[in-house]
Amino acid sequence: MVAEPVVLRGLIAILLAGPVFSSMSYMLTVSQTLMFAIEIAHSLMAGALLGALLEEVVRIVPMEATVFLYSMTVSALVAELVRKRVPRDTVLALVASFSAVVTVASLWGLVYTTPLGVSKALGALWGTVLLVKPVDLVYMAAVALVVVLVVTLFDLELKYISFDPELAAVSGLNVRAYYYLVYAVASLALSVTVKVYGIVLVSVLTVAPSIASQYLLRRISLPVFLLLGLAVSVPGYAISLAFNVQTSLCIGLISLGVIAFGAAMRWLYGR
Amino acid sequence: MEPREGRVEVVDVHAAYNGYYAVEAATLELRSPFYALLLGPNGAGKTTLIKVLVGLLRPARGYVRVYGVDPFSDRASLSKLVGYMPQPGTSRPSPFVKVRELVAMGYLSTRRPPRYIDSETERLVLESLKTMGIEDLADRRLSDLSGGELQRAVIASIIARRPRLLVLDEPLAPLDFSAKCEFAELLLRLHERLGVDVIMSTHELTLCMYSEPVVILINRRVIAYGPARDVLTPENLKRAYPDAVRIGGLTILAESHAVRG
Repeated sequence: MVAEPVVLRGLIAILLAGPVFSSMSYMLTVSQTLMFAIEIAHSLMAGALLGALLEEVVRIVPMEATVFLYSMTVSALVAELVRKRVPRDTVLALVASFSAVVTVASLWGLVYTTPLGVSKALGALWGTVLLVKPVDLVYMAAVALVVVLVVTLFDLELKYISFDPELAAVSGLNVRAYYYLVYAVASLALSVTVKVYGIVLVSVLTVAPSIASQYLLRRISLPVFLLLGLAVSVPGYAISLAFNVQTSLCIGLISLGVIAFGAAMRWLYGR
Repeated sequence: MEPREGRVEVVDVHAAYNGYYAVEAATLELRSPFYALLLGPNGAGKTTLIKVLVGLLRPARGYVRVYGVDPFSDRASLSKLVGYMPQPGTSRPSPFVKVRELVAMGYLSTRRPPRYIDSETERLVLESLKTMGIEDLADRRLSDLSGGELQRAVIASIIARRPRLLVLDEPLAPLDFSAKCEFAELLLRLHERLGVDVIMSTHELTLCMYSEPVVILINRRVIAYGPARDVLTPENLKRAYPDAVRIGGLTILAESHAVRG
């Protein structure tokens, strides 16, 4: 079965997307922006559906580009408004409301304007790993390289800024630029993972390696996150093929299983 | 260590924080070497003035020069001269960061990326940790430190890059009496042995301080500054703390805070 081109491309996509989301999870964990990312990810359904609509209607705008731009815009908007002392709750409520309207409008556009609208919308929601094209794999490989490189190169800086942004700023770091780097890398990572896993699973995948790593090993390191990323993705993909079940569902269930196992081990052995 | 010359100047500074002027027409000058305490009631503008001094807040009017550097426009030069310790409780001690990494970044932050811990950085980290008496905490996570230990780790990260000036925002607030004394002694030692100038905001005069500090008395405006004995007069204290009560030889500033004068 693995020899079939579609299945092989899917496997390569999983092998590339695994490190992308686990590196993103590591970056968000050490920079203590995990909750921020989850809050933004909840608004990303709008970006994914809008991307699907534009890809279908305009045809020259790939879905990844729309997801990236939407995520980046929302992150920057939230960060700048919070910086200007608008209450965080108000900003997030505003973004969620706006995104809800975009979601409904894009969904309506997909269902009523294109014949394949419903399947496109479902693809954005739960991913289409078996539909990835060779060009998608090249893009994913490039993003994987960028994400892993950035996370490796700026590990110390992100930790320092997360401890106290003002201390870091007076020490000579351009804190705002680093936060924008985090948003850009997270948005890139999301644009890849949405295609493979679907928007519904992105939230789970963003937190799963982080929680599992802290519960199981009580330590945070990039190699551990990378291993956890592959440990949930590859078996999830294999099971989905064996039982003909949606891939993102299998990966999501394994992720939750790993988290539950970690929590149980912590509870049993107090590690 | 560079020659201990230069001064910190604050000239007619007006600074707004959260939409209102927390500091108005503040003017003062401190000549090196100095160990200065910024004293005033809650809402007096101590934190605002400190943020202006370290370049985190641009004054609406007036200007600041720290050893000749404009803190807001020349952040790169300032970072080599000044170390800043934010108010305790505002930082987020992470379980993912070790003391060694925090101190290393204190030093590496003034260098260009890529930043990584090499043998020279390791040596400086160890030296700073020893100076602060916490070398045994090098591999501890920040979230596992007590308040006093965390403050020492932050100071270690600052002195790792050998600043000329330490600016500390109410570092004594969360400490018990003996920890306050230890911390005050430590700062005094840095001031005397390493030649570091100090500006520290506080709500109290540390009784355990063995030398007379410069006191800057502030309540939105700088009411007086200079040697403690000249500044802490009943008249000045009454202006800085309008609710102060004078009983016998003591000026009572708050329930548990009195100054003889």
